[in-house]
Amino acid sequence: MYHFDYHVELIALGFVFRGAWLTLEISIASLALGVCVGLPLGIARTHRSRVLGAFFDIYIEVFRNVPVLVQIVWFYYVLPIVLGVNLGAVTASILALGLNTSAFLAEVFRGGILGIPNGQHEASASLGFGTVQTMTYVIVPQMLRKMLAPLLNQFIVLIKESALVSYIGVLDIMHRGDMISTQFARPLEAYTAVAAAYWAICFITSRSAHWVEELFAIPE
Amino acid sequence: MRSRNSTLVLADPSPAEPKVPAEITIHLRDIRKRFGTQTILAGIDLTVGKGEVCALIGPSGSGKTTLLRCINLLTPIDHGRIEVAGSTLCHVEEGREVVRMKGRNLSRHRSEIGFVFQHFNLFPHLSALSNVTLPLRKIRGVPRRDAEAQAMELLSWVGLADKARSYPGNLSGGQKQRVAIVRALAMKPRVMLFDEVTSALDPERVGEVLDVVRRLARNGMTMLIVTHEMQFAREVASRIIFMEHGQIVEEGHPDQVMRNPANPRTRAFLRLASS
Repeated sequence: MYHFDYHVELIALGFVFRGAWLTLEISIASLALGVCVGLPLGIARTHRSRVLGAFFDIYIEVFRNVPVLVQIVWFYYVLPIVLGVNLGAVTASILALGLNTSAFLAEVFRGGILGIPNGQHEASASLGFGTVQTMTYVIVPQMLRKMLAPLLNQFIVLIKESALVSYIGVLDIMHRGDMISTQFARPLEAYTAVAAAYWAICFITSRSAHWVEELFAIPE
Repeated sequence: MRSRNSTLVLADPSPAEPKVPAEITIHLRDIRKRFGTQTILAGIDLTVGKGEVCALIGPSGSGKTTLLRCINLLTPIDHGRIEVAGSTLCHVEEGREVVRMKGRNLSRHRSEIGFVFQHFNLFPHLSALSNVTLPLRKIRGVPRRDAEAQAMELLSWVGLADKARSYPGNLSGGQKQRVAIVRALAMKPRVMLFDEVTSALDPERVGEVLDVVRRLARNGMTMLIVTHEMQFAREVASRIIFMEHGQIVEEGHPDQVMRNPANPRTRAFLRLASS
């Protein structure tokens, strides 16, 4: 029978958890990029413009239908060839995960904006708000609060997907697990520690999500 | 601008003064509107003088609400001319657009037309106070402190000073509607348009909203009121306008239209409405 080495497990946990900050950093930055790019995309998609519409369709379909791992690799190895600039592994990771997230969030935001009753647009217009002001002060703030649940859910998805960046050498939780596994030839202990680390982060995040949602909920 | 508001809204009423429309606030000429094959407005001519209170009555589907929404271009018209306070907002002849105000220009004019909706349309993510101050600050550029002071003054005027920090979700229908009226009033409009503002309220809440409208009428606010409250219309309006099938069938002084309608359709409607 396999002998579970608690000593190695402790070392693994300690080593792996030190990658938690980098994992979180990448996830948070990717989410931020996803929101910043996804929000204007989502807003633009609510307007019926042929040319813009076609462009966004392509953007969204590309990011949705190519595996995330391929996107990460592409941004790390291919983009430097195309643009002639070398991106660091972390930057490439954030770019890939963030833009990928933006494609998903654009749809979420679009739905959220369309879900705001027309009366809100009419009330704003009747008070003298222009289209941009209506979006800025009335529609988007309401939409973001209503979309907080899918947004936090996307964040948890990102934390888990970020394990893929270990593939291009980012020293995140997953990559550290790989190192321990090789070092001690103990995959069971190493990857159990990795699993425990992701589980802990995601569990805490999803539990606090409820609290965050309540904090920002529109009183009813 | 500010002094105009305070005199209009908060000054002591002088009910004995007769209302002589010296200045025309709303001028509508031959307004026509179709939705698909259905004619909603079949050529409406209407002039509302400054300080006049006009009540629009008529059966459901007669085009009252559509007419009101056309005035500030929430609903685009197919034909006719809309003038508010001397400016032409829209002028369409035979499908040819002579004038259709857009963008900033339209927004500026809309901000001078107060519109109160049947379903309130308050901004649910903002407190009652912020609902009133947001347009003041962002459209009129009033500093936050001044905006809040003005909003509080108006909220107390409708008896809602203690609800300033409440969110719409925590207010009753009557309270929401009073906040909505204040939000429109704060912009110092030249005219207030009321679209069945008591239709979505519980019966016991109707009175508190009508009372606010009544006080506005006494203060000389120019108003166009779409309503199903016949008694209220008769009491508050200086003119009653009866609409049916997208046309103005009869208009005149409340006593004349209500007590002694000339048109048989008006008579039939009033008989049904009072029963």
